[in-house]
Amino acid sequence: MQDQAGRDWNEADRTPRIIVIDDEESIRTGCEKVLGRAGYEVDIARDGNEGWDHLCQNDYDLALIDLKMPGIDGMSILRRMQDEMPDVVAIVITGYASYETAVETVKLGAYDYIPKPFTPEELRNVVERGLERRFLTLTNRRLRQERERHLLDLAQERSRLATIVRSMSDGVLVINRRRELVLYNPVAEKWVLSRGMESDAEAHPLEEVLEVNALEDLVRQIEDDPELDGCDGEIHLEDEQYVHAAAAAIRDEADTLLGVVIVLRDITERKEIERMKSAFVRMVSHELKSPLAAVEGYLNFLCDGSVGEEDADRMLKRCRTRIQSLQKMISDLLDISRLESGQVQRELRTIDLNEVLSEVVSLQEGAAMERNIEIDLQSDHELEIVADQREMDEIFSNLISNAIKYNRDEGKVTVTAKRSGGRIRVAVSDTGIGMAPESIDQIFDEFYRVRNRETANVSGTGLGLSIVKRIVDSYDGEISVDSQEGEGTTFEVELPVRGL
Amino acid sequence: MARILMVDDDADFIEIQQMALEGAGHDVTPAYNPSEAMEAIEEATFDLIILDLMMEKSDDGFRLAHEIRSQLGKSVPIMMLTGVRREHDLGFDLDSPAGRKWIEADVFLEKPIPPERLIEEVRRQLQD
Repeated sequence: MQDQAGRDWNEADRTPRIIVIDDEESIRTGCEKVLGRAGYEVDIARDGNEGWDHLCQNDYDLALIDLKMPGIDGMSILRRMQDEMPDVVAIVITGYASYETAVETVKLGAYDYIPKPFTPEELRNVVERGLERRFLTLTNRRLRQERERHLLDLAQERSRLATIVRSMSDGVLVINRRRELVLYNPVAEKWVLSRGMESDAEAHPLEEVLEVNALEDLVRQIEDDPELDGCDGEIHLEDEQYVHAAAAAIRDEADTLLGVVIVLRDITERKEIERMKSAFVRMVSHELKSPLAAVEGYLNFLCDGSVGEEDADRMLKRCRTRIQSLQKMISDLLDISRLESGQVQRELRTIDLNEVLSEVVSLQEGAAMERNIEIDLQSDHELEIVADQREMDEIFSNLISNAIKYNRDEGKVTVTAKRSGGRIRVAVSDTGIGMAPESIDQIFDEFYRVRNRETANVSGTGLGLSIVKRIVDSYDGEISVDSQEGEGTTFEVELPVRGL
Repeated sequence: MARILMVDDDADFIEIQQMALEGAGHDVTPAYNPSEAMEAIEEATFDLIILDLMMEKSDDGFRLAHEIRSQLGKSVPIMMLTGVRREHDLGFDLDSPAGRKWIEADVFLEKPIPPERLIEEVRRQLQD
C-alpha cells in the first residue's frame, strides 16, 4: 500500500503497524477507527502491562502511549522502549502537557506528543509524521546494511582476487588500453618484469617495465587487429627457461579494446621432453638405417653376381646377422615404449629369485663356455620377491649376458644375491674390459654402446641396459655400476621384496 | 688411384664401400673409431679421408675432423657422411658458411649412399 505521503510501504512488504496504549476506552476506539480508516493496522492495549506485552510480541512501527495509566505507566514504557526497541517511533498522548513532562518524554526518546483532546486530523498528522520518521529510519538502516555488505563483499572480492592472482603458478599481466601494466603477480614479475620497479605505483608504462620485447609485440598485434581475440608465443628466458605467453583481448560490447590479459606458463619441461624425443627419433632412425644400408649394400654386390662363392656366403651371413639385430632392436624399442607408456601387463606373484638366476645362468652357460668363461652363482636360500617373472628374467639376462660379452676369454662372471631387510641385492661382476668413467655416465642411455677395438665384434642394440634401468625404476629399485678400465665391471641391482 | 682412409663404426658399411672403391681402383684403409683413425694418420699418408659423423657419440665425426685438420692442415680433403643433415637435427645449418667452416669438411654426404655415388664424389674431390 501507499500511505498518504505516497511512500511505498510494500517495499517493506507490509502495512504500517501501530499500537495504541491508553486506559481511556474512547481514546482507544477513536484512534483505532481513525487510523484503521487511514489504512494502518492497529492494535489496542488497555494499560501499560498489556501494551508492553504487545510491544514485546509484535513488530510495531509506531506506538501511541498514554502517560498516566494503571500498572506500568507511560514513562516506564518509553524507558523500556528506548532500551529495547529504539527504532519504534513513540508518540505520547497526554492530558496535561506541562513543559517538564514534555522535556522528560523527549529525553526518554518520544518522537512527538499529542495533547488530549485531539481531532482525527491532528491524530493522522502526528502519526503520519511519526511514520515518516520510521520510514526514514528503516530506509537508512537498510541502506547502511546494504552498504556495509557491499563494502565487505568488495573488500573480500578484491582480496580474494589478489590472493588467487598472487598464488597462481602461472604469470599474469593485465594491461590497460593506455598500454600500462595495472596488475601483475610475483611469477610474472620474476620472469618478464624489470628488477627494481616501483611496486606501489598504480600503473606502469609497459615499455618501461617489460624486460621481454616479445610481450609488447603480442599487445601490439591485438591493438592492430580489431578482429583478434588473442595470440600467443614462446619466450626463451635466461637459464634455458621457456615460457608460453597467451595474450587475450578484453573488449566491450562495441568491440573497443579495454585491455589485454597475458598469462605466462613455464614450458621448460615440455621443451626438454620435445628435445629428448627428437633426439631419440634421430638416434632410432640412425640405428635403423645403418643395418638396412649394410644389407642393401651386400645385396647389391650379390645381385651383380661379381663376387666369389666364399664372399657371397659371408655376405649373406652378415645380412642375416644385421637383420636379426634389427629385429632385436625393434622388439627392444617396443619394450621401452611399453615401459614408458605404463601399459605393461604385469603378472605379479611371489617368485624365487634363486630360480630365476639359476635359469638365466644355465641358459647363458653355452655362450660362456665357448670362451672358457666361468659363471659363479652365490645366493641366499631365502630370495622370495613379489614381481613379474619375465621382467626379472629380462633384468638378469641382460646383465649376465653383458658380463659374458664384455669379458675376456677365460674370465669369470660372479653373481651374488642376498637379502638384507626388505630388499634383495644382486651383484653381477665380470673380469672384462671395464669402462672409462665418462662411459659409466652414459651407460643407461638408449643406443649408447662403448665402442672401441675390444667391443667392435660385440653385437648389441644399445638398448639392453636402458630397458634394465626402466624395469628396476618401475619396481622402485636401484641400479648402480662400478667399473675399472681393464679390470672389470660390477652392476648391482637392489629390489624391494614386496615388489610394487 | 688414391689412398683413402675410411672411418665408420659400422664394419659392414666399410666393407661394402671398401669393395666398391677398391673395384674402382682405390686403396682403402678402414678405421672403426676416432682413435684408430688417428693411429692410421700417424702411420700412413692419405689422399682423402671419409668420416662418419655419428659414431660412439653423435658428434664424433666433428671432433675427429678438427683433430685431423689440426694435424694435417688443409692438405687432405675430408668427406663427411651422416644419416642426418637437417638444421633441426644438428643444431645448426650445415649449408651455412659458418657450418661448413665449423665442421671442417670439404663435402657433406647423406647416408645411405650408393657406392657408385660415393665413387663419383671421391673422383670429384680428387680432381679439385
